[in-house]
Amino acid sequence: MDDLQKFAFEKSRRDFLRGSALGLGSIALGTMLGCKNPGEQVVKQVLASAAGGDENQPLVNPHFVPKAKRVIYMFQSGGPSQMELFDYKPKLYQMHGQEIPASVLGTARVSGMTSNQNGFPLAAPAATFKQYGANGAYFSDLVPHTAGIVDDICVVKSMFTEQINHEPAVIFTQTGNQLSGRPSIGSWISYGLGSLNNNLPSFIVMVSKGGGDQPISNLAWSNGFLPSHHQGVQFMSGKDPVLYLSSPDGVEKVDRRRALNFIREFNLLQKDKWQDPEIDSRLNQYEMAYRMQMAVPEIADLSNEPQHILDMYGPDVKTPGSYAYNCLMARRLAEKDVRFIQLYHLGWDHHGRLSSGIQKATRQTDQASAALVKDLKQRGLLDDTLVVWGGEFGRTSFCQGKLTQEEFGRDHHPGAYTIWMAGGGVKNGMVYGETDDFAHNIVKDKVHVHDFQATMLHLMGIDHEKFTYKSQGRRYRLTDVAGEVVKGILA
Amino acid sequence: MPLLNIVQDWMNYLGHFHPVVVHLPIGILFVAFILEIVAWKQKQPGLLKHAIEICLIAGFFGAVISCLFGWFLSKEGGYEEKTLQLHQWMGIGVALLSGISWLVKKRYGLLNKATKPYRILLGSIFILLILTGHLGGNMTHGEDYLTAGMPQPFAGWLGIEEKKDSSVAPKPITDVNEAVLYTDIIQPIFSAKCYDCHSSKKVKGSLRMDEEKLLFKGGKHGAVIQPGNADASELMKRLLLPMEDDKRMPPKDQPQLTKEEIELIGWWIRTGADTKKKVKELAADEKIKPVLASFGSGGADTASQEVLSKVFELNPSEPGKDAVEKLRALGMIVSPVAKEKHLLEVSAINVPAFDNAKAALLAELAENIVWLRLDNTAVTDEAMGQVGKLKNLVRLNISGTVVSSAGMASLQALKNLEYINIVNTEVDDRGLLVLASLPALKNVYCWNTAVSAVGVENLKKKNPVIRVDAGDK
Repeated sequence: MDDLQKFAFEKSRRDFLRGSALGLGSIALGTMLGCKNPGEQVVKQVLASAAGGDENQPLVNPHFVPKAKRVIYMFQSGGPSQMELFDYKPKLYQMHGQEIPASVLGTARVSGMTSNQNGFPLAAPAATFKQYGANGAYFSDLVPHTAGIVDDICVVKSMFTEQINHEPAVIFTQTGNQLSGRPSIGSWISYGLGSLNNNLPSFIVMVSKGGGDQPISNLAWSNGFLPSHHQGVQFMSGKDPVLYLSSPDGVEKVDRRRALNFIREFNLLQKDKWQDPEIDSRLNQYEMAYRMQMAVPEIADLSNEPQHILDMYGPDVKTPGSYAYNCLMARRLAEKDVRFIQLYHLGWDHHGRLSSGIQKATRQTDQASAALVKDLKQRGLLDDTLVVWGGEFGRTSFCQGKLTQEEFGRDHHPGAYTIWMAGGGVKNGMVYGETDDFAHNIVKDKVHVHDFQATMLHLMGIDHEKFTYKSQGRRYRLTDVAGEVVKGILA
Repeated sequence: MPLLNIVQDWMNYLGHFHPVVVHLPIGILFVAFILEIVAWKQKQPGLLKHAIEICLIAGFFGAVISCLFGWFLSKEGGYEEKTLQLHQWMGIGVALLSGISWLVKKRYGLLNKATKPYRILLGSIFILLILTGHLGGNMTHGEDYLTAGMPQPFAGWLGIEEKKDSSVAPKPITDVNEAVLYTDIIQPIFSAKCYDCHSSKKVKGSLRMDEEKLLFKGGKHGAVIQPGNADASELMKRLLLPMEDDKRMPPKDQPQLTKEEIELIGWWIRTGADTKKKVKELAADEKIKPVLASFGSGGADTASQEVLSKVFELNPSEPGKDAVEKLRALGMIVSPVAKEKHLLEVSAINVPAFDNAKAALLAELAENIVWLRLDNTAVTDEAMGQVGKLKNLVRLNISGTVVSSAGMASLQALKNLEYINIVNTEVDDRGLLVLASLPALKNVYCWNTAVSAVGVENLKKKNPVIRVDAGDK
């Protein structure tokens, strides 16, 4: 029986029986224990059992003292190649053109795009590597800016996932399940911890333009079964980040307020009648939109950013919708205590012509990503902001397509990939995990997507095993039934 | 086979029948007791006389045989001496008294004069029977067999405290590397699998494992642990014997140790059987690593808890509702930093008009506020006087305000302050240097201020622990 029907019937037979059984029982117990007012207790019990669904309560406050107050997740959609960026494998240069050893390839599945190739020749990375920082970590010449912040970040080379295609892999990384329909990490955190700034949504999404043609579905920032005001609010890449936010000409702020109050009364009447929790969400969203009318234009106004800051983020920063612009916006939103800021950059899916493709992708993202970390740091915000850079899977060390300098590409590889994190309770200047000589299999400190998610929640002060939401008769977790906090990277 | 040995074997064997035989006199004497009550109620002293006599004499022989077998059993050892003595003499008492009552009943059963002493005799047999049986039960099943698990409120009435015996409840291991190998890992294994027969309750083979001294002393065959040499240690040998072997420990039908537990004990003995050392101080070999890893934290990291300020262990009194409400009415965000903590974070993120006058409200929550954001508000140096009263403050962000060095001087009482953000303020070198005296301070952010490179150097010189980030100029 769904909640609406239930309300219509006021109480189901089962509720009545449960209520009366508990009620009678507690009268008896109350009398036995000399309770002063058993009647009152019974009323409460019966009410509680009639309401039924009071199990789903947001945490409001974290389980324990958090290290990170907010998250900026720079999602690199498409599957950045770990061999070209962070995971230096000299052997690949030596063995260029040779078949990947069968012992390395193993029995793991290969995607349908390469499974019918005649062979799997290794391809030398289209980049050169150097060591940087106090820990001597390797970075390629494609990411010189990221290499410049090596002492502030933690590079995790041992990520792995279960999905080999984009959509399920993205959804898996974002919601903990490969099928869409579960809440995104940002929605979980928005629902669980609420907002630190009532004038802005607690989960904001920005998808940058100019990356590539691989689409990203808005299911990645869906609220799933959580109340819908916890879905990611997508800021548009135009001049107005939120559409229709400015009042039409001739409409005064007072009028808007009065109109909203009037609508609110109607909605409350409906709520009384139907008890649909989605009406609460709607009320919330109206109010949020009203408050955003003030807050968002202020956020989007970059005129007070000094030139040297703009220069840090790179030449694209003035183009609304570019990755650099979004990174700067992310910093401004973090300054305003927005809980979860999710950036997506598309254009990492280099099945062919990897060399030029990855150059374009890194040119668009490297400088701004590093600038964001530096900018947060100098403002004293990196201490309690968790910054994550990473995609949904890695790429194969063997070639897809024709093995020439220009033409070669790499296929999807879920077995090993690299991400990096910074700030918010993560050890800095660290490289965690190791892959084999072919960046194909993980040989040390594997980190599953659920482990990563558990760690993220841990840094926000949430015990991922205790943070559940009951929907359609089952309790759900972001990490499903798995996930362990990666203690090795905690500061 | 020498005769002595044959006798010994038979004694041992018959000793095992003590628990069986012992129930006969108990039952039989009980029947005598019931029959006597029936006769008394019928007011015919002669009634059932014969039957009672039979019961008493049968009970007597039963008790004698029980005593004998009990004595055989006691030769095997492993029982607590004092209880054993008491049990033995009480058992002998039961046997003697039942014999005497039989005599009395047979001779004087019909005489009124003898009735009273006879009844006292019978009553004392009854009481002795219960006590002796109870002691015997305690020796086989453990002293708390009857009291442990007694439902409340009865246990409370009898003044029985919750089960507290020598067994060691394993405390949850959060980080195995920080765990003391003996007390946190090995002892709980002993407690769960060995103490039943080798502790104060019962001392089989004269071996007690519940106290370190006695454990290292060993049992009747000498020491069971050779520190540094697991293979030569009797304890390990017994653990590894095949299940069918008589010397195998724990015996066949008892709860067994897991492979990992045996591995851990072996490692503990190999590394010197130290009782104080932590796991991380001992050399972990390849075999033991996966076992240790199964305790939760394989990583060497323990810092995550230590990094937190001591402030978070405090739990001051609940914040004043009035003060919280007043702040919230201004649009301030006031919320506990974690569940069940009265420590607050306070943020003026949406209140740019927050000023010195309003800052006075903060002082009402002086014990509670640990994180404070007053950035980009109208506060000035004057408000720092109020902020300086927040003795548990750990993080302070006043960036984008007109606070200057004068304000810094008011912060000197903040003994717990770890983080201060004075980006975009008017603080200069003088104010920065004041911060050097804050004992807990770790991070200073002073980008876009009047602070010079020399000022930063001076602060670092005076307090090298502090990390100063002056940003990119």
